[in-house]
Amino acid sequence: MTIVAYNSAGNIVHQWYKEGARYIWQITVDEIAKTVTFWGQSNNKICMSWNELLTNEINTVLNMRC
Amino acid sequence: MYKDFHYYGTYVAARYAGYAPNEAQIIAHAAQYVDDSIHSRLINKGEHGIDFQPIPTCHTTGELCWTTIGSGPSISELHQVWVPFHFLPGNYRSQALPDPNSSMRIRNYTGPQHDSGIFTSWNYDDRAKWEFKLQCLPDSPISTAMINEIIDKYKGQPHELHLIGLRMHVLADTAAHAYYAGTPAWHVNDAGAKVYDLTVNPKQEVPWLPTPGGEQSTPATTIYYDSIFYLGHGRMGSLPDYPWIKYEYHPKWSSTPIVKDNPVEYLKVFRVMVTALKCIKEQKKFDSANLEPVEQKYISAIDNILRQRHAFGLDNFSMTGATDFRCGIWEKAIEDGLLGPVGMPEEYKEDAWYNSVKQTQSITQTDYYKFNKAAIIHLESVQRYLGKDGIPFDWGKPIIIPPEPETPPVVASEDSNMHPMLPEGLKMTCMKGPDTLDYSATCPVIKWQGNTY
Repeated sequence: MTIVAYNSAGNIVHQWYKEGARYIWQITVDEIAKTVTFWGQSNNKICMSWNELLTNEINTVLNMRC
Repeated sequence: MYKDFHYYGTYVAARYAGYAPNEAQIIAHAAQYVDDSIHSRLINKGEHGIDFQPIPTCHTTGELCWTTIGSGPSISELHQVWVPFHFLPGNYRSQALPDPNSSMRIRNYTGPQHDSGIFTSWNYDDRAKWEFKLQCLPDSPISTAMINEIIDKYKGQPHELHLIGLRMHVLADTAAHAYYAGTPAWHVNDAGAKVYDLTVNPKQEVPWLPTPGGEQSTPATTIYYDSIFYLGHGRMGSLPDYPWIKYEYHPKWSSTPIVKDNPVEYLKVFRVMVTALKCIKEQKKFDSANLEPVEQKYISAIDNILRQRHAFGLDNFSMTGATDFRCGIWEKAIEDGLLGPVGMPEEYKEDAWYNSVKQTQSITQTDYYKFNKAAIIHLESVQRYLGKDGIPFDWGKPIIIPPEPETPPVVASEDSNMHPMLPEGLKMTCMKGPDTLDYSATCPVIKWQGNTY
């Protein structure tokens, strides 16, 4: 799954390729753990920290537990 | 102000601004709950899954009485409650925030420079000048900034409506509490004993207890110039919170008497609230100088509600007699359709949010949790605004500038066919659920820091 960030003008500002899930159907936010979870087919999921969503670093490794 | 304006007035303002009845209900409940979120309704961090320490947004009269003998809230806690939530400071020229109307707003100090009491003396020194800056005034830079902050930072957050309601309370109080400060200060909050009711002709002196049927107020004392008796409008009793009264009093800070025309000021702040609410809802920049129109027939009806006079002394001790009377007038006007098709809000129950915590498994979804989160956000915002202008929150302590809060990403939903251009080689597929291959008409997205993911 690729997560793409667009600015308010609709321009792509960053994208992250993540393995582990496809076909998104839900997103959840954990305010305590400060993570965002992207839920895909068969409830496979991709988890990203808020910090990661702010950085420019491309990270293709699933390194979070949600 | 009491429940009549904070609950019913806020509810009607929210409905005029376009909020649905269930949203207006939460906003109004939060607005009134500022007066009811006292120590005894606070759940400690760790209990029932609360992951932060809630703060009170009001003190009971009893708690304040204990302060006189040193066992009530500390002066620091008094500031945390009364400055941000009830007496929003405005008597200074802001350098950190836009302040276009400072010359019209700021009051000049023309009161005494020195005084000698029984045990202590008092000077109009740096501390006294700081206390005078804390005087609450309408149309202050903070009152505008706190509304625009909701638009910029808290749209779509779980506690958005609760923060809106809380700040409607603060906004409304800037009208009723104008010229008083949320710190115990003799030279700001004391006034001459003679107060005149100008709603009768000729004007009449307002009766004070122990005169039968008199109003209750805190006594004047020069034992301590920072006595709790000089907190807020205690010396004026409930007069600032009576929507119908036009009164003349002589505050210590002014060399001449002041006239406060409550129905005029209340109606004005009602229109400011409608404007603020509409700006938040429609994500437009808020400016209290550009008021949104409200139909004249509704303005007339609200003016009539505000001007319903009642006897003095009804709110003494029980604090319910006059308030119930005024709430009944709002209810009747809503019921009779005089305010338009706004619908009747539910009966307000001050323990409803607190009690719901005991019956839930998901604490973060409760109104109680969201309100208390909003209270901390508001306190820190006011501390930040004052701190950036070099104004300490507590005299003699370092200036506090809390860090900007980390706002969480917000989950939203967008039309699957309306997405912006995709990166080359990618396609977008959104499903209705985890175990179906049916495409969804909408796609989940997150909105955060100005970006959409």
